Amino acid sequence: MTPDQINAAMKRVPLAFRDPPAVRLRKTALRVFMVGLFVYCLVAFNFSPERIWTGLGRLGTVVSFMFPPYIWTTWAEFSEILNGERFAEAIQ
Amino acid sequence: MAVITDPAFAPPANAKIDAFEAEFSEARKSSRRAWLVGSVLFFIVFIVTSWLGDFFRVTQMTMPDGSREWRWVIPAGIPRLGEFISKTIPELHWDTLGADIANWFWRWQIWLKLLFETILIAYMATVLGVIGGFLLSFPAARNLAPNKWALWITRRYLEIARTVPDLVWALIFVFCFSVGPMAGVLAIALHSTGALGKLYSEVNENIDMRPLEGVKAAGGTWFDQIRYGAVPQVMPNIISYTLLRFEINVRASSIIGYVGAGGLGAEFRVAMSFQEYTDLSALFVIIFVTVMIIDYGSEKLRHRIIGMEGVRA
Repeated sequence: MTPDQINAAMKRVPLAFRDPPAVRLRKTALRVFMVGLFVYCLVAFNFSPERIWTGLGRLGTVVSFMFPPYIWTTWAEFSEILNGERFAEAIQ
Repeated sequence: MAVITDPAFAPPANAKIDAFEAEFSEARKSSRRAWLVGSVLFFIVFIVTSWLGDFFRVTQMTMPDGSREWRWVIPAGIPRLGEFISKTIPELHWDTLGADIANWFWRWQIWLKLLFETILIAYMATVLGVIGGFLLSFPAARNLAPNKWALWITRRYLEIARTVPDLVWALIFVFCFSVGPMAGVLAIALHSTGALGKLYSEVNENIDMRPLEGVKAAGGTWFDQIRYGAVPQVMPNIISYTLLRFEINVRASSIIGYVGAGGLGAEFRVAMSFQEYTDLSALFVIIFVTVMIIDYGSEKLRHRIIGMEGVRA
């Protein structure tokens, strides 16, 4: 198959290679409508990059709440409490 | 009927038949015994679980005349359900039907606006969910995944996305992205990504692998194999799952407003808290009619698309 042959075939039976113009127009119109509706929704629902960015930050906070808090497990960490300074800070 | 007397045609030795009969009846008996034991066990488990589920609870109830009586929960509670449903049914009279219906749908302007918003939320969520699910369905299919860890990661992601119900995602996203339809769109989109990715990947696992091998033999990359070998095969199924998902998303987006994520759901909450029970039935009618229209339209559309595919093939 040379490009010339392909071009000749395209010229002879164009509908075997692409849809008729009416169908192509309808498909394009449908795509434009869907994309347009999506863009309209983006505007109507106040989608904005900074809103998504701050939202993702808060999502990180929510996810971090889902893990149990860190609890001291070794005596070295606990013994800090008995330190005079820390104790004084705590009771102030 | 002629009796056969020729010994050549006589029934075989009786001992064998008797042995078979005895064995057969023994097998019947044992299977009956097993069935009986099984059903008794099932019945006991059924009773125990219903007891655990408070089906046999006896509690104090206020009777219609105001007295307190001890009653079984289920028989005492079922009439209450009827009471609630009868409260939601509006009073319609034949002479004043128009005015009554106008009174029933008294907030129709607000509801129509919110219904439009609900459908747009469902549309946007479906678009985002289809994009995510479609892209992830190829690495999540066992026969198409480029390598093991891509399969593992995409499958776990899809599982997490669909394990959390969309109402719970909406709750989380309302906290993150503030009240409004955007939180609802993201919540339903995430949940439908998980659900659609699973369904699409199962469609991908059922395809014929020979077209992909053909593309590979012609020097195609992994993307070429997917694009020219897999996608044309799975397209009709993907379209029908997508249309089904759109209908599911309309129902989901009509309820997520309950937690403040946009759409009709907020009206449910208002109607419940103001005890405007006829509003509930009006909203139910609105959503029911919408879902019915979408169901009808998507069926027509699907048949049209499948018909077009058939003509082209």
